[in-house]
Amino acid sequence: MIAPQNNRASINEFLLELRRDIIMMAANSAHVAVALSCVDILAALYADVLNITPLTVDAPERDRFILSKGHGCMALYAVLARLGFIEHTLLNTYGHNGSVLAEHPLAGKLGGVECATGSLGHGLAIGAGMASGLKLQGILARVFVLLGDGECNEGSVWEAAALSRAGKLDNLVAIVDANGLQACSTFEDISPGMGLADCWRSFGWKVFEVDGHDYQMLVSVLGSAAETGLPSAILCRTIKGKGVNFMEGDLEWHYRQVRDNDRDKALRMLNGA
Amino acid sequence: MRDAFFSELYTIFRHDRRIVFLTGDLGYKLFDQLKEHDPSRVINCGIREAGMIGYAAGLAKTGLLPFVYSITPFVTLRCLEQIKIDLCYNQANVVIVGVGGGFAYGPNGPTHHGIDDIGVLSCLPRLTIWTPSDPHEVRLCVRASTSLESPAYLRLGRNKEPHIFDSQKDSPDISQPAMVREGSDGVIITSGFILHEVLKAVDLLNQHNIHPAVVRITTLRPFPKEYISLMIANSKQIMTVEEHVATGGLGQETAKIVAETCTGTRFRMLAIPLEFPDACYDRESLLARSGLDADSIAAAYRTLANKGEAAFGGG
Repeated sequence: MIAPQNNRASINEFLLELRRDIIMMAANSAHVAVALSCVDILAALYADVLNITPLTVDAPERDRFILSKGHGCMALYAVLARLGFIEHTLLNTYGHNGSVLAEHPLAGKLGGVECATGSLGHGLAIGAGMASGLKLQGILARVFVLLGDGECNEGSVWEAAALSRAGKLDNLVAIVDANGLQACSTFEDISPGMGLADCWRSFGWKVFEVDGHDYQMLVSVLGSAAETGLPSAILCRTIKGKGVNFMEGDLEWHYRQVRDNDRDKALRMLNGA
Repeated sequence: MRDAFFSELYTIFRHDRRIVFLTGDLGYKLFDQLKEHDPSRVINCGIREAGMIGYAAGLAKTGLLPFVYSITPFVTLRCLEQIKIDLCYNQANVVIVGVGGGFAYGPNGPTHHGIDDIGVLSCLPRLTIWTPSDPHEVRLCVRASTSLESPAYLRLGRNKEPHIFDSQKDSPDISQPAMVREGSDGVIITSGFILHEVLKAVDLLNQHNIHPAVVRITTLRPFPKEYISLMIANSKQIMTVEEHVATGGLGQETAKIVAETCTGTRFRMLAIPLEFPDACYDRESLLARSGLDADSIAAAYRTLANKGEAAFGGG
């Protein structure tokens, strides 16, 4: 953790800064609503939960984080920049030729990014292997993996879920950004009747459900999830596009770039105007 | 080859605590010895090959050296994207072990044949591909695993493949092609345990006074381009033999160099036709039906060599 964010006003300003960074980056790419959906979770993790700092990105005992839903990476880049893992000016290069900030995290480019992601359904198995490797070597570090609810369509997620339970990986925490919207449809349309909490429970995981935009609650649940004796899944109820009212819950902003009037409008909203 | 793999793995497993053995619920009783030595480093991942590869990548990222084991198609094509991204792109040094390469699982049918593994995996950057030809070479590959700087794929046969190299006398360098038979009538280049059929074919050719050299390649990726270029430059004819479809295999890689070097070397590629077998067959029958048994290999080489004589004789 970088700086415990105890002051409510400063937390709110921190979260607004991150959202403004995301809006600026999103002039060049899709997935703005995805980043706005998971940014509070990432902020809570890096600022108040993970045992990692810009100086310990290679330390064996650091906590690991994997953004399995790699298309949410604008949120990750903003958090890494605001907390000193990368230069803030680097955000201006997002999506540009030659930049280390691609529209899905690249391999081996940034301290604090454990592995490349972008194709869905990969991160949890990698995180499980890391959690297992740490245990085998007697290292008391935790592994957090952020998935989307849409990502839970992938069969490989459930292979990894079962593997984690079999490995008794109580140092592994899966976080699901459950905003209910996928790329072209709602989660419910794609998987009718599939209760995600019940799914994780039936795989033998400890399950928590929280409001994914309640910072203090996130810090509290994320911070204690790896203490249950089981792998834990935290279902975060979120709003896709959260914080910019004309994006909230609108499928279009999964893909649409944020330009001109839309950008100005969004920034005004995030400046409290 | 399978027994040699497990025996050698056990040898290094005892001394190298980085090694973790993962299986996709296959190899009944074969890894008991590993488990008795250290159960914490033996993981039966279940029939979850994609999950197993990702898991292995995670283990490797904490400094361990995982070996993942299953039947060839299940541990290659079934989880191809995990190999590409989790292992190759993310640079996780994991050894993928496919048992039953080629037609080794003949009567089990096309679901179990491993005849497209090399071509498909050859599309992936950074992956070392080993195709040992006998049990001794399998042991050398396993030993080389401990100093790997990339992920690797090890293609095994099944079991009871005969020895070609004498473990007491020979210490073939698996990183380089090796001449298994000297000869003066061109070269047959091959890879993997089909080398046995090639050597039988050469015995037949010798009876007709045709004496090709035989070169085997054990490290197929990265491809030994320089060595093969030299072979091509110094041979009037070259034939490749592989227990794999032509696409992406040894023959195509060699053909590319033949084309690029323009030495006028005559070239013939023997590979498995791109079709599914029409019924149940054992390996021997499948090889014969694919033109890859010793008789067919010898006949194909005679034709290639005779073409040359006709050309020289006729002017």
